[in-house]
Amino acid sequence: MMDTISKIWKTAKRDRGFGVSIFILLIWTLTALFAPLLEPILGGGFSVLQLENGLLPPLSSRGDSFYLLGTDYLGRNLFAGMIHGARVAFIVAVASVLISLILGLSIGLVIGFYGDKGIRKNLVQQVIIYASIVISIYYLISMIADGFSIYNVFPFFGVIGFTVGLDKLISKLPIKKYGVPLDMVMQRLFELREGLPGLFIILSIAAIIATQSIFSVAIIISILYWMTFARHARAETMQVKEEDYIVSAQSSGVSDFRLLFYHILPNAMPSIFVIIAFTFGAVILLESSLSFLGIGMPVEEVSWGKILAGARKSPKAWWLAVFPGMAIFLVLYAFNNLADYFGQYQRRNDRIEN
Amino acid sequence: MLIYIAKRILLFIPTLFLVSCLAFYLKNNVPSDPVETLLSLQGIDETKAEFSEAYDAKRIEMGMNLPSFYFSIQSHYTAWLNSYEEESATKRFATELASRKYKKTDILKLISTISKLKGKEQRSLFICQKPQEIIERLDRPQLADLNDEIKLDIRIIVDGMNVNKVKWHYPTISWHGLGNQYHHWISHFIIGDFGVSLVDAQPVQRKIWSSMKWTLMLLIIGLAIAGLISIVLGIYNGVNQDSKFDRWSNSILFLFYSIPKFWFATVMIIFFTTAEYGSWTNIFPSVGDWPAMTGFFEMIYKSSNKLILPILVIVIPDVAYLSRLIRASIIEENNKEYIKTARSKGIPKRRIILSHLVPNSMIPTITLLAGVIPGALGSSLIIEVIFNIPGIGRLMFESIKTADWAIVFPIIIIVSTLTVIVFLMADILIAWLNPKIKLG
Repeated sequence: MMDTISKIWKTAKRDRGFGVSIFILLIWTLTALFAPLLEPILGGGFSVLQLENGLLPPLSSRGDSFYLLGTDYLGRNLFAGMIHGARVAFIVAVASVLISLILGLSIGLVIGFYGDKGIRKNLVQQVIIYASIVISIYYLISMIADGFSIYNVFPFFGVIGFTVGLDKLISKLPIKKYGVPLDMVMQRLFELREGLPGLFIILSIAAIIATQSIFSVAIIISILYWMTFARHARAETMQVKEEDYIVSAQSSGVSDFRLLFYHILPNAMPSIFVIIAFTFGAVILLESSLSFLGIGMPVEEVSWGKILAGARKSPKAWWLAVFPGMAIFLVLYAFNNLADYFGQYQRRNDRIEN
Repeated sequence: MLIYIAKRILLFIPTLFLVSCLAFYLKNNVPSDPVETLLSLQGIDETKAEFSEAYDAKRIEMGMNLPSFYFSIQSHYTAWLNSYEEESATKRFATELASRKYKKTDILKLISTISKLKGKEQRSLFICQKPQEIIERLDRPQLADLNDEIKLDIRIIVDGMNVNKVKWHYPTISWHGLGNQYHHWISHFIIGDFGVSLVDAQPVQRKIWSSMKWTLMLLIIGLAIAGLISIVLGIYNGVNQDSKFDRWSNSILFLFYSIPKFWFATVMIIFFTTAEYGSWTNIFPSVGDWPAMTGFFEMIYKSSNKLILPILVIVIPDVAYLSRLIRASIIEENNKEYIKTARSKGIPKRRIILSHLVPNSMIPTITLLAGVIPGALGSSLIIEVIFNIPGIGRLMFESIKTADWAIVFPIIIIVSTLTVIVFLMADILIAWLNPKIKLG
């Protein structure tokens, strides 16, 4: 841990852009984590209305309260709103990047490693596997819709166990085997994702779903963004698996699971870091766009985008437009800078190796 | 080459099919009932006597009584409902009960018992959604003069139903053929009939096309300007790598690259369209209504002063993004051996740039330009909302706000189709430029 910190410190001293980005992200993270403690100090946070203190410019004080960044037209303390916005952006970004990273990385690794021909099954096996996938999804949906009962939990595990058992048995039959087209199916899905207008889809899903919370926004965002991770993890895995050390590990009998998660994943990670930084930026932009447009985000939740949208109602109050936008911009800048740095680092390493 | 293009076009069909399936799935899961909304536009709402008949007729007209897809995977305890062809109160009643896991035989018995009743009483029982509701209704004074024998029968059946619910269940696949909602919807969609808006009953296609012109105009102008500036800037900076101008413009562009477009637009509007901060800041006309769309060039001429700000907002971040990447591809090309050879042979710098460097870095540039378009379509939504431009993005936004789902999903399909076509065209262009693919 200390080692990593001192390494980051050294890099920050050498590369000014990197240092600034780390500094911005550190402040953002700390603000987000300690927002519930900070808000009471600032007079109860952004939800406190004081109509008589409407549209105060920054650095003004009324009575015993001081408004560092001024107030909006309802007299709410902008500084408190900014702190709460930092927390909302942080929760949405971390949650959606984490979900899409875990999902995308595991799927990308598997399809990159096996491809279309890695898993070979004969026709009978394939038919049974597809059928059992459909049936188990049916029972899974039943579990979600009707709640858990013996009538759906038992068949669910029964079907899976039966298929696994039968699969071993049938694989011994002398029938010609074909590859399972995992990669082909996933590629079609990625193409679909590429064609879809992300903001449009997210807006319409967010408007359709009944329960609106910041976590539902995070889940909707990760539905689209796991594919970015999966695509890059796939490409990276396909490259890494051709390396000599992987081939020799494979020939010495290392299990596929160990190979994937102990040998391929660590070597694919540097380029995944670039995507993580980029996705963080994209997700924050998306979240602030959603709250700017006022769709999907819950009404009572204050975020940077929402404050910025409020600025359009009162053009006189420049502080309402400048500060929240500045916060979004700084965080975006930090992540883009980090992505740039990771990209350069990786290119440098590649050059040394070659 | 032709085989390559044909292959690409064939791959493009499954993508569009998946997009349409996704849009259809979302359309079927919106919280409001389109039939009810359309009827209320015609002045028929739930309080009117003719509502239930008009509702059934409208559902049949819109094809909503059909099964939703070519096939369905259902529980066995609801699959038997597929035999009901007509839209009727009994069907809805049976569907409600079956989805609550009551057995088929019990439901049919209950329906046949209730059918013995007279019209009005029968109807009041068939709109119940749970068997318990039926029992409650039987006790009401309106049904007091009902035959006691039938009342008792219903009670016995309902009691038996509640004890004897479906326990074990399994999925069944049923094939519905072409008579399904998706087929109905997509076949209308392909011939250009997108249905009617749920807000003003106007044809959707007309609304979409008239707003599409605006978005395409902004997209084309923005992309042309951004592309031109960033190609020139990228090449210049790439060739003069690490010069003073390169370093400065690069770091400034990196800042601009991180600026959210909606913030940029808001700040521009707040500072430069009003005289709030001194008269010299009132440079641009304020955001207001836009003249009706007539011809393309007439449009540009008429509203040119209003277009400056939105185009500025579109162009600057795009230039920041594109020119940095074009610069990188020029630098990569510049370090290759053949350029070194050309340079050492004494070929003038100008000729190296124009006849070797630029053509060879064309391929990544085209990919980049094509890659910007989906993002531009997405961000058009926010820019159009901020500048009040009646384009596709604002139409989408307002349709979502007013729950006009009949417009939302056609827009998604059209924008996706447009995106896929752009990628396809870029791929074909690259293939045509790249002798490896062109000849091989």
